[in-house]
Amino acid sequence: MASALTLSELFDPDFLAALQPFSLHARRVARAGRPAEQTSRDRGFGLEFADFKSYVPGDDLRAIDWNIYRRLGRLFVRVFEERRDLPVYLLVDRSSSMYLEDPPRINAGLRVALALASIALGQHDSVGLYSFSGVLNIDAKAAAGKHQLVSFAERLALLDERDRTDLTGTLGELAGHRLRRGLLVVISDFFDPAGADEVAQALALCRHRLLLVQLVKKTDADPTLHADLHGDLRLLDCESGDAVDLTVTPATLARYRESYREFNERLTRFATDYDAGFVRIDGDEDVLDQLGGLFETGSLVV
Amino acid sequence: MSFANLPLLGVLAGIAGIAALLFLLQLLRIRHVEVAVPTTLFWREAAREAPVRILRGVFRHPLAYLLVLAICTLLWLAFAGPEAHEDRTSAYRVLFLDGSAHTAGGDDFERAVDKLKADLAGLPEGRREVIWGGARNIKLLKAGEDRLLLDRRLASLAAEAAPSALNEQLRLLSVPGVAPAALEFVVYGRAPAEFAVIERLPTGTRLSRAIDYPDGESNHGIAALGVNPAASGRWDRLDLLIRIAGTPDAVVGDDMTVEVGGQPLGDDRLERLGDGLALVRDLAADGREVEVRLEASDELALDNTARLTLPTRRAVRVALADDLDPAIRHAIEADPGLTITDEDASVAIRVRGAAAFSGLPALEFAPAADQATAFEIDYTGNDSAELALRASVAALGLDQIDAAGLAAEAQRPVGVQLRQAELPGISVWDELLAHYNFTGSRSFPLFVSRAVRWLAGEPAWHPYLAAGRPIPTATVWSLAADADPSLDALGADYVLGAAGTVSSDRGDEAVALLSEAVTERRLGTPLLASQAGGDFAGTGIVTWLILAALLLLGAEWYLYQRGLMP
Repeated sequence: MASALTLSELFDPDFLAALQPFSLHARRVARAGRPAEQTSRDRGFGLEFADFKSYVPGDDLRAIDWNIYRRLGRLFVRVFEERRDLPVYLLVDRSSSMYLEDPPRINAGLRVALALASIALGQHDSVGLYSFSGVLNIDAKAAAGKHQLVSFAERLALLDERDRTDLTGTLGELAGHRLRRGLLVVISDFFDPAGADEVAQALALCRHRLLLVQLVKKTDADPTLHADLHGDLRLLDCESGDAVDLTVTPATLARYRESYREFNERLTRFATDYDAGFVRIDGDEDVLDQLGGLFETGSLVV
Repeated sequence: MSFANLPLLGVLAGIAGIAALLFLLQLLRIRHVEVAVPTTLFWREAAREAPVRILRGVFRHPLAYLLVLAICTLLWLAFAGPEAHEDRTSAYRVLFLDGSAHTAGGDDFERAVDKLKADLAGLPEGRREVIWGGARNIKLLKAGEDRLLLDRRLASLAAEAAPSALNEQLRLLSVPGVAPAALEFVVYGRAPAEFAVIERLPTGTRLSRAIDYPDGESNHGIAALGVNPAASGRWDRLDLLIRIAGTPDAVVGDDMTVEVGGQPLGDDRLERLGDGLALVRDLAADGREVEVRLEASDELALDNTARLTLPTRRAVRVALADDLDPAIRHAIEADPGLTITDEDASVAIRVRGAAAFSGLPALEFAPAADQATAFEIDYTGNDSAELALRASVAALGLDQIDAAGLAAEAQRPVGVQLRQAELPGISVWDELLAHYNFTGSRSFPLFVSRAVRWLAGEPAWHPYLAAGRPIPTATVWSLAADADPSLDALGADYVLGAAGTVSSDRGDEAVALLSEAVTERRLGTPLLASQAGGDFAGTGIVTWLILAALLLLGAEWYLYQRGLMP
């Protein structure tokens, strides 16, 4: 079994520098956040005019629009949009399937997580790190500030392999934490034994905006690229240990590909239906190049 | 349907065994290679529709099981060697009882007869016949005749000192239209068959031997006995050659005795040459009988004795006229086979037209002016002049004459003319002797010597007489027009039957067995069905069975590839 990235491997200055052009924007963030750069529903003393409201005692007299008073004879005050932070919750899969191949998918997952954290922290958003396998772990509560990045990278590097994937249960557990609404980034292979439908249903119940990062390998789509996948096989699920005996034949392969295609289509359809972001990252390819596709215009709007 | 390699019961048992074995194999699982994968989620779905290819999985589908069983059964049937000829029980059967010397050893003949009688009892009378194969092939029992007649007909028969006539009988079968469509030819006895003969047997004929004999049993016998003109050059003497054959390697030992005219030959006369050969030099060519005996106590006694009648070679008496060229007398005197005499002569030599020794075949010399060609030959018999000329050229030594040289000296062509006459005669230009130096040539004494013998009509003699073989002749100086007793009316070789005595106008002559195949107890080519042409369909069916099995294998592979079969 291949090992995951160490801190020195993960915290690559060149990689982080290449992320500078990217930014992450929410269409509107929830109220009661910390001041930051994201558009929010909060009204107050921001720079961008948002609306007028009738004056009530206690309002700031500096906000009274005297031109309206002159025309209408009534007092209105200008209200401005408050800029708030976007809470970004990185939910990283640390089940065994993420650590199986060489290089393991977790490497790409860690790089993606670090990249998104770097982008978010760079624009004063708060970033929380959660990992899951069979249970949910809170690895780092949401915190803001660029200085958090090193600490964040350390926590990512400390993630180790756990047992099975239970994404549906994890999402339910996460909902119980009553987190402020933000962006939930699920970094996983999505190989939940419950199936793609169950995963989609669990994701649909999330209160957060969603960005799904599917970590794949080329052998997922074409098992013939796997050197050992031919002939009479006993396939062992690396997480559950369940065995499937079969003979790899063209018919078997065709059925496998069909099943895998349906799985991917289900994820994609969910992302489309629920206006969630979706990106497929090949664990064998350069992560930065693939992220470039996600940040096509330099900014990802969620 | 029958099978060459297995009985029908064995074939059926084999098929049942294969079916049971394949069934038992369902309990076995093949060994899988274990591979860890991130998830079996998709593989499980794939495996649900295309189950693992294990033996149990294969047989889970009854049609797949039947397909595998069909393939295995076809291969098993091919191994069993089916013979899909017509119903052989309805085939016409020829039972060939070998009465040759091959079956004369030990109790071979009695066993063959007993087996023949036993087999005959179970055959329909109208579909079988029995042939005796001795010195001559005789039909012992025709189709439809009661088998009880066989005992009486066999009573006077025993294995003869003759080679087998089996091959001749089989050659007859290869003539189109002779053999029925389905024929079982069974040989009772040790008679060998030649491979070439078996190969030419028509389709539908099956050749087999009723009793299995070991090939090449230990035996010794006389394989050759014959004479040649004596190497010493003496006209009235012959050299006798004897060859002993058999296994293990034959040697001429003290157990061999040679009698000439009933008198034992001294051991000092017998020259042992090795390799089973012995030579007796300078035996008198006086017509006595030579008998060679081996005191071997082997199974086969017929080849332990061989007899040969020595030819009689006497000098030709020649009457010579006085007025002839002296070279002629010298040539006659130089030939020990010729004697000059005035009384009781067989041939005369004279000048043409002289009255001396009239009434005798004569070699005459005539002036060239009176004779159109250099050689004029009178011959007897009814052959055409062309045939007679062809024979006379060698017989008279004319081919040895330098005709071109003589013609150059004579300044005219030197030719030969033949004509039919009551008495044989040869007329030659006198000038050939007197002026053209014919007497000085090497061919002259040869011409005189041969001409005299041709005119005397010296009979051919036989260097040996062997049973089952044509009569060989040793003379070279008789025209083909001479009634050669070795030729019958059709011009075919006259083949002697069994060893014993043959009578001709020269008296009785001994015939010996002299068969190496008999002496070495060879069985020849095994009479296997595959070589007999009788299993004409067997090989084809095996091929088709294998092809069908391959076809089914291909079909299985195709179905498997298409995912239509587990």
